[in-house]
Amino acid sequence: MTQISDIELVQGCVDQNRFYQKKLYERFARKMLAVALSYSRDSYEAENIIQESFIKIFDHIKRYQPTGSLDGWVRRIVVNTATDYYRKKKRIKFSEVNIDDEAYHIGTLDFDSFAVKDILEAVQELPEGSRMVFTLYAIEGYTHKEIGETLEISVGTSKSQFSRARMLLQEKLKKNEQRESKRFL
Amino acid sequence: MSNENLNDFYNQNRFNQKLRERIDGYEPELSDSLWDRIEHDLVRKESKGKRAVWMVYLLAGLLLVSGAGIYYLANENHKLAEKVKDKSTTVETLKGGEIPSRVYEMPETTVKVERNPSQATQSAVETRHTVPAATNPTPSEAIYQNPTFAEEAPIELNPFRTAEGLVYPADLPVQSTEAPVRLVGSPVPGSPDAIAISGKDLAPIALTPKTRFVNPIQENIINKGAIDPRITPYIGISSDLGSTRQLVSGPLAWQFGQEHPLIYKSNGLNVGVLFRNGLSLESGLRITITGSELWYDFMVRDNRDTLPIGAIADSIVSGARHDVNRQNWTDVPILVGYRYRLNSHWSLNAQTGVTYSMINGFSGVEPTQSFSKMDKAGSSVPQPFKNYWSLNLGVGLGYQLGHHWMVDLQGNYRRGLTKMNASNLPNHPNRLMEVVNARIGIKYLIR
Repeated sequence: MTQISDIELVQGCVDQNRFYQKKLYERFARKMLAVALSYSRDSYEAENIIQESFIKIFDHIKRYQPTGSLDGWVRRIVVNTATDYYRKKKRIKFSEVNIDDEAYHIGTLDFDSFAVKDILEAVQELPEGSRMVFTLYAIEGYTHKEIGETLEISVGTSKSQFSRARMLLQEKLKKNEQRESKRFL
Repeated sequence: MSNENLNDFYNQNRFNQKLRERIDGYEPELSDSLWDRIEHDLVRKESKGKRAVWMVYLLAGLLLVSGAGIYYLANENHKLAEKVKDKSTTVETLKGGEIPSRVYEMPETTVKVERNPSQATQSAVETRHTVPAATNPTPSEAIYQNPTFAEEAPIELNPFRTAEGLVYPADLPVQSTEAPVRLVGSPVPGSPDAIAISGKDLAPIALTPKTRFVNPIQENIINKGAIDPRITPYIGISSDLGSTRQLVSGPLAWQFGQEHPLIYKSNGLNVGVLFRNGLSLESGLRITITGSELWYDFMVRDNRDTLPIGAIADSIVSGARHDVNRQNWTDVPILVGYRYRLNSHWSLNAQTGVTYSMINGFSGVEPTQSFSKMDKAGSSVPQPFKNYWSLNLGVGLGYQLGHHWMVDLQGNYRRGLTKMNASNLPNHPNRLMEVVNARIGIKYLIR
């Protein structure tokens, strides 16, 4: 079966054709769920973000410009929805962090030795504020200035939250690694 | 930058890049119900859009019908005024010695009727009756209501022919202060009836002795001036059957989605007035019950069990045919309407207005075994609903049965203007009532 082109898919969605809407969903939903998982506490919240995102996507698909990639456009909506989701609920709490970013040295961590599922679970266990900053910086490639504007926090807070998140993440993954290795001893 | 910091920078970028690569290539499994939920939201959004379009069409239709009705009435009134103005009826002062067959003394608001004693076989009858010009009966209702005559011999005003056709005496302007006068119709040129329209043959009023039933309401209320004869009060009863649902919105609406329709039953008493021009005002009292006898396939979702429902006083069920979430309301409608008469029996009716609904009670029956989940709605839960306002729109057909009775069949749409959920349940999503129903009713016209 021939793959439906992006233009055809977008046009079908603009026409509110349910077939094309489902095809768009099938093409991007799983990939976007991975993105949403890194912003949320659990898969249940992530699915809510995906649900809200796809409604927005179908609402605004007329505005999509074919000059950019459809994948990137869909991803941006998911990220925006995820940040909005928490910001609207005013649930993000940025706890006080006393970490000197310059003083903290990044150790080497071999991601290849972990399953993505485990990495995401470790990310989800991060405190909400740290998790948001960490995901936006490390995965989406936002600058601290952009994160500050998005989450309405200062650049300094963004940096310290990121450092804290990175430290916590490494600790969690190492702990998990040790636990796993003990299991096989 | 020191070597240590350079290393950090390098490590950080490597860290981010590795993480991004791993997550980008990851495609976790989706729950089967996710698309269903998205599709459900899409359907709701689309139907909202369609409903808005229909509302616009309906309002435009109502405006068009109202406009046409007002134009028609204004036009008819104008025609009638022209007809009266052009009527070629002359008023002549009687010469001395001439005895008319009937004499009319017509001061501004007084009609004096006398019989010529030489011709009368009955005893002479004389009365004075106040008839404001504006309240003259219309041609179609030419029965002259004279309270003084009513007991002995009610009289009828018979029409007579002029150049323009039949003229009803009641239509003639009552303005002369010169008495006595004689009304003379103009002959119709070339008409075989011309000869019939002259002199004493033209007797606009024939006293027709007639025994008739005296309506006590007419006699004791209308004739005594308690009710303006230009309006017709009515009382009636009506019964509604239809469907209602609660439109859910708000931050937690996703937990509830679109509530499925409930059965809607309502019985009420209505009172109102019908104006001569077809406009009406109506109010009343209705007892409304919404229940879930027709509740089926309500919000079957895999993840409902995991929701932090708390004390939300709503029934969350999967299954069919359960008698839960029964609400009892008292509704007070305030409606304006327009009734367009198609003929002597049938009429088209349109109504709009607002209804104030007051919650009387709410109950949730204990769940049966087929419920997968249900909140303990009932005595242990605070009242989840509050009074609300809604907008009414209705169109229907009326059938006149005799002089006093009218049967109405009407389709109604009602939509909440204010939220119906109580504030003591912060988790409860915002709800607006929406009702579609068919109404059958009967009215008694007091006239």
